[in-house]
Amino acid sequence: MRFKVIINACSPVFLRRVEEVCAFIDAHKTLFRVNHYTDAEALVFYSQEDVEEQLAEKLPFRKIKLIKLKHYQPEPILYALEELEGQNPADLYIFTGDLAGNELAVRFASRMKSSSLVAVEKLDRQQGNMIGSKKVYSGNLLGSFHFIKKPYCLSLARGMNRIETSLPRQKKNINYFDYSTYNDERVPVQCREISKTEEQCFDKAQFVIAVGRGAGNREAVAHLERISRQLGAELGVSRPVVMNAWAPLNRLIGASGNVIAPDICLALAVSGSPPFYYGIENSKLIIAVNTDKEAPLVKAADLVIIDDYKVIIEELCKLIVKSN
Amino acid sequence: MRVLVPFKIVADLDLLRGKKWTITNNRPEDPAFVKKIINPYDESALELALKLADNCNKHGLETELHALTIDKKQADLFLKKLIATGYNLASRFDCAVDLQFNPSAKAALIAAYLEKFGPFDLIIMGMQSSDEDNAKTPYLTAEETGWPCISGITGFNGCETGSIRVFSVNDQGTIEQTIHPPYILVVGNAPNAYLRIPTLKAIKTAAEKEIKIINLETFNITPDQLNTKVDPDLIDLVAVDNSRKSLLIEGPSAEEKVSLLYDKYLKGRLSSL
Ligand SMILES: Cc1cc2nc3c(=O)[nH]c(=O)nc-3n(C[C@H](O)[C@H](O)[C@H](O)COP(=O)(O)OP(=O)(O)OC[C@H]3O[C@@H](n4cnc5c(N)ncnc54)[C@H](O)[C@@H]3O)c2cc1C
Repeated sequence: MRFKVIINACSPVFLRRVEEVCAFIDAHKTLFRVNHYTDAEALVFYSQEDVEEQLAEKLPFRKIKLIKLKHYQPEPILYALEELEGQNPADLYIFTGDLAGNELAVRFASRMKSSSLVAVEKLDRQQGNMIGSKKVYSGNLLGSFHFIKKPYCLSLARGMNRIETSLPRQKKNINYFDYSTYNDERVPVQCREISKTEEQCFDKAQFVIAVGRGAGNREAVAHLERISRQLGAELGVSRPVVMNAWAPLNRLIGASGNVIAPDICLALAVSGSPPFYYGIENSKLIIAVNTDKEAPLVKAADLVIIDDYKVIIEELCKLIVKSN
Repeated sequence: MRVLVPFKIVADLDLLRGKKWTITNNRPEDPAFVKKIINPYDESALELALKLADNCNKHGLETELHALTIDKKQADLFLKKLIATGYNLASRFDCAVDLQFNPSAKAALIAAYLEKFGPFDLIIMGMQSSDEDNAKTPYLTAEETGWPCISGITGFNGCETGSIRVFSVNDQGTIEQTIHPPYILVVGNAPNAYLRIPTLKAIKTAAEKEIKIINLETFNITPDQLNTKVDPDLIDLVAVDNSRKSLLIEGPSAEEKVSLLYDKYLKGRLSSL
C-alpha cells in the first residue's frame, strides 16, 4: 500500500504531531507493509525559511517534500496537494490529529472524490476492505467505517501515542517546493498571531488537578489554580469551565482539548463524560472527588471520594504542605 | 450582511453517560429517549452570529440571520426559539432520508439552500456534532460552495467596512484575521457563547411567525442522490468501556478520608515525582 503523511510544520508543536504519526505507522506496520516509520513519504508544509534546516534535521522520513508557504492557510496547502499529488495519488494519506489535519483530510479527499475519516484511532483490513475506527456519540461508542474510494484520507485522533523519532540527515532525500507566492484574493487580507502555542503546559506534568463545572464559579477556579501551583500540579479544566470563561482554552482537557498522561490526575467536581474522559484516560492514577456517587467518573476512576471537593482539597493541601 | 447558520438538534448525550447502550442495526436506540438540545458547537455558532449582528447594527450595518436545520417537526420548537432570540428567518429542511453519518449529503443540501435562497455573505457552523462526531460537514460545505473557511473560531467582530475580524485558536496559537465575505466560519470552543435567553415578549411574537419548510422537491434532489454520498460507510458500532477499579475511600469525616488517601496512595507517589 502506498501511503504518505501530510505535516503542517507551520505549527510550533508539529514535532509532537510527527511523533504521533510515527507511532501510528509503527502500530500498523503490517498493514502499510513497511519496517519502520522512516519508510513513510512525507509532504511537509512550512512558513519560515529559518526552520528549513531544522526541518531537514528533525523530520524522521526518508523521502520528504518540503513545501514553503507564506503562512498557514488551508487554501494554498490544498492547491499544492492537488498539484503535487493529483495525477498520481498514493492509496492513503495520513493527516495529523489536530484541527488543520481534520480540515485538510476532508477537503483534500473531497477534491480527489474519495473517502475521508476524521479522528481515526485504528486501521484494519477486513476481507480486502480498509476499515477505520473512531469514537462516535460523544465518545460513548466506537464506530468502524469502511473506506470506499481511494485515496483514503484520514486524520488521527487527538493526542494519540507518541514515539521518539530520529533519522540521520544523510539518509533523507529532500525536495523543495515553493508555494509562498500562491495568490488567492479570498484568503484573509490581514493575519496576526496573537499568541503562539508554547510548549504545552501538560507535556511534562506528572500531577494534574482537573476541575469541572461543579467548582461553581470563576473565583473558585482561580483559587484552585493557586492551590495547584502550590502543590506543584498543573490545572486542567472541563469544557463548561472554558465556556464560562472561568479558565483559558489552553487548559481544556478532553477530546477537543489536551490529552494528558500524568502519574496522578485528581479530578474535582467533574462528571467524567466521555469527551472529557478521553483526555485523562492515559493517566496512571485517577482520583475522582464528587458529591454524586452516580457520576460516570466514579466508575472510571481508580480511587473515589464522595464528598464536597472544597473540603477535600483544603484537607489535602494541609497534609501535603505539612509533609513538605 | 446575510448570514446562514446551519445547526443540528441532538440528544443530550450527557444524560446517557455511564449508561449501558443498546445498539440495533448499527444505530444506538438510547438517544431517541432523552431530551433534545441544540448541538453544543452549533449553539455557540448561533450565539456568535447574534453577537455579530449586534455588533454590525452598532456600526449601522444591516444583517439578516437565517437558521437552517435538516430535521423533522421536532425541530420547530427550537426554530421558534431562534426567531425569538433575533433570527430573521428559520428554515427546516424536511428530508425523509436518514442522513446520519452522511455529512456529504448534508453539505450538498446546505449548498443547495445557499444557491436558491442566497446570496449569503457568511456561513457560521459548529465544528462537529455530539452524536455523529463526523467533524466534516463544514469542510465539505466549503468544498461544495467553493468558499474559503477558517476553523477553530472563538469569536469575531463586525467592522464598519463590511470586513470582519475573526479570532481562532488552533495548534498554531491564537490568530486574528481580517476577512472579506463570503466565508465559512467553523466555530470551536468559544467562551461565553451559550445561546441567549429570549424575553417572554419575543417568545410570544415568535410563536406567530412562520417557519419556512423546504424539501427535496424544492431542489429537484432525489433520495437516491443523497444515499450515494455515504462514504465511508459505518459498518459496526460497539460500546466503549472505560471502567477502572473504582475503589471507594470511606471514613467518618472528610479529614479521615483525605488522610487515608494521602497516606496510602499519594504520599509515596508525590515524593517520587
Ligand atoms: C463534540 C463535543 C466535544 C466535547 N469535548 C469536550 C472536551 O474536550 N472536554 C470536556 O471537558 N468536555 C467536552 N464536551 C462536553 C462534555 O460532553 C460534557 O458536557 C462536559 O465534559 C461536562 O463537564 P463537567 O463534568 O465539568 O460538568 P458536569 O457534567 O455538569 O459535572 C459537574 C460535576 O460536578 C459535581 N459537583 C458539583 N458540585 C460539587 C462539589 N461541591 N463537590 C464535588 N463535586 C461536585 C456534580 O456531581 C457533577 O458530577 C464535548 C461535547 C461535545 C458535544
